Amino acid sequence: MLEIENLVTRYRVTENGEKRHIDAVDDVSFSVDEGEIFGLVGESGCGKSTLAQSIMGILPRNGSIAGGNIRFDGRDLATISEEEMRKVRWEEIALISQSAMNAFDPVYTVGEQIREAIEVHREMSRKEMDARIAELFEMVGIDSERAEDYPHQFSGGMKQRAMIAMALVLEPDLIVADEPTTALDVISQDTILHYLEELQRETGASILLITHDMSVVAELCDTTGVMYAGKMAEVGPTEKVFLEPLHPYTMGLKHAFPSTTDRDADLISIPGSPPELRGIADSCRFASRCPFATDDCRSISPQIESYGDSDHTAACIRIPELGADELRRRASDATTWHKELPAGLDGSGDSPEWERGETEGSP
Amino acid sequence: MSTLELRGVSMDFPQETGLSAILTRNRTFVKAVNNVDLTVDQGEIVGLVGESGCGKTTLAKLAMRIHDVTGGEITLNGRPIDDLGRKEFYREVQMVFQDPFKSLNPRLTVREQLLEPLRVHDIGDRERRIRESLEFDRLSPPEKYLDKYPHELYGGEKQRVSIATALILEPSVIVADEPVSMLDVSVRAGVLGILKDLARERDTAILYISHDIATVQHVCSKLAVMYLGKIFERGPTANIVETPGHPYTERLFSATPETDPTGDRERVVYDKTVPDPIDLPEGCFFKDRCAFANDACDDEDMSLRPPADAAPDGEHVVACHRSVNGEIDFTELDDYNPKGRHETRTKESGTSPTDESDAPRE
Repeated sequence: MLEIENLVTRYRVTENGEKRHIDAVDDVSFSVDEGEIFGLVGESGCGKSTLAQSIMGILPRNGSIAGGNIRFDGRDLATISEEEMRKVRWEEIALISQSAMNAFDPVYTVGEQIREAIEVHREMSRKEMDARIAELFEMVGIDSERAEDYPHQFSGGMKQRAMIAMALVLEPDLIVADEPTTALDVISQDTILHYLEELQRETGASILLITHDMSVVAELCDTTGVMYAGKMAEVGPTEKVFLEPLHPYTMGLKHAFPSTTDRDADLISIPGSPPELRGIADSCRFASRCPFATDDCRSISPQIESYGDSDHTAACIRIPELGADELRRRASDATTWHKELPAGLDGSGDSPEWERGETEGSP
Repeated sequence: MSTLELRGVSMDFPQETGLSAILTRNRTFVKAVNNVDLTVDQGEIVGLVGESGCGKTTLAKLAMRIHDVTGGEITLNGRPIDDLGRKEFYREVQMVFQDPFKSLNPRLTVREQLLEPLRVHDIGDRERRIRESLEFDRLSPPEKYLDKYPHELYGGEKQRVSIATALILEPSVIVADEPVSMLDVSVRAGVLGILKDLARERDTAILYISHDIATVQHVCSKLAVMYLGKIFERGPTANIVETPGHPYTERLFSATPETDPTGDRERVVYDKTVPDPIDLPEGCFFKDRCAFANDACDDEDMSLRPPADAAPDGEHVVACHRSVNGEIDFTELDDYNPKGRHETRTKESGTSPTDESDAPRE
């Protein structure tokens, strides 16, 4: 349904009068099947929101797609005209963003704004539109009488649910949800995730869910992709990615994230910070923070390959060398990440880069 | 003796400040904090959790003397904080803010940042204190950081410098309001580890305020659950998490997603939002959203008392008569609605606009 192939999204920046470019999304490939919920996780600056903007064709002025394809329903969204894209947007692909709840205009009622969105794309009578809005409000648990209320009369969670209703009004095939619940409390979040799941089940739409919250992905998504510094680090069925992660970064994230089922487990932070995307040489981008990195990791850009199962892929040259089981065993030990490794364990003999501390490269 | 103690503390914010309100003397108040008792002892990390608008940040500001209480009393080591000079007070109580990008002065280096509180309080031996503070914060070697400006630091490092500025006076109390919510997941654990070390090694009393239920379970030894300005439940973390007494606590914790992809947690669904804090219902504030509510809930005074099956130490207390009388069986939630959800009740009740208006942000 949505197939992204070797996508490169580039930002032009001017620094000290010098023109440069940054590839915020660099050679990323994955696909979202029909009716699938695909979760994309990563930290701030990993390129996940740029990816969403690339799909929607709403990149800022200094951003552009510099390579690769975004195949959707027989077309390549990376190359189609703005006019064609306008038809795809909302009608075929809808976006729910983190600040979506603040996207309502305060001087019009919520209903008026949804009707306006319908009128742009469809010919419908007022009666038909109101019936459609009532039906959608019902689906997201808002009393249909409230359609003629103003946005300030809604709570944050209700606004976000109304936004979901608005996104679905034209029955899109794909919903791109970029941090849809990040600004909300757990109960509002759970309510919204419930309706998102129900709607997905009823309409059969695919969802690309972008978030930094591992637990939301664990519960909701069929497939999980993990992004790091503009690259896809790992993709696979959610259960495999969480229970048998392949990439050391995924393992690190898993141990850094608090679990509600195992309260006593120590949280382990990943040392260091994501690298500068500017002028990155050929290397694994996680190498500076990875306890398993060798000289090869710092000189070869790893390709994403499948290990074990054909649908579970990761970009790490240490997987065939050490074995995923061994990597997982070592990664679960806090001392692997935060203390000197015993000599020889690393295999390469040289001191791992992470030892040099966090400020490798200036931010 | 408790290091920080809040007794019957209230904070009412006047709602109408317009001319008509003044002329008619018809002022309404938002009870942001409503008769709260809470203590934080040495070496303890007490987590205050609740949804946005529940009053937890206002409570932090009261503890920091940013606002003055409109009712009740706050004491520090047994002395009312109003009796202490501001300088004396802030020597003992320091705050860690949510946003390290805003809480550091962009024009000061790390060294200057850390020198400032020492100058204000006229404390000597400054170089040693600065080094120790940074090292405790795992910013070592200190030389690497001393001459850097905030923009040269990463998010996690910034928050640790921010903590270092709070620690340099060696306060006995730290109030931390959402200290990691702005940070990336991969560096949060480092900051949380520092807070744990502080409690363990320096016996610091820490009040940790957050809406992140999963994190507080890892960090805090005790928890207090707040709803509409009231503490609904309080006690050791294990008791609150494993045997919650209040139906609200149970819902709040049940709504927290799990990292286990094979888990089968039921989602918590509330179509109806929190009541208007200006026009609060009679009796229990949660009764309209509660699956266990009965007529007696109209008379609930929300005082904290031990639930029916609690240990006799009196540490675990709850503001619910049904829990106190042992009338709550959370497994009933499954029978209440086939999906274990509250849709039936919430859809029937409440259609007036004020019912669903958002709780105001403080």
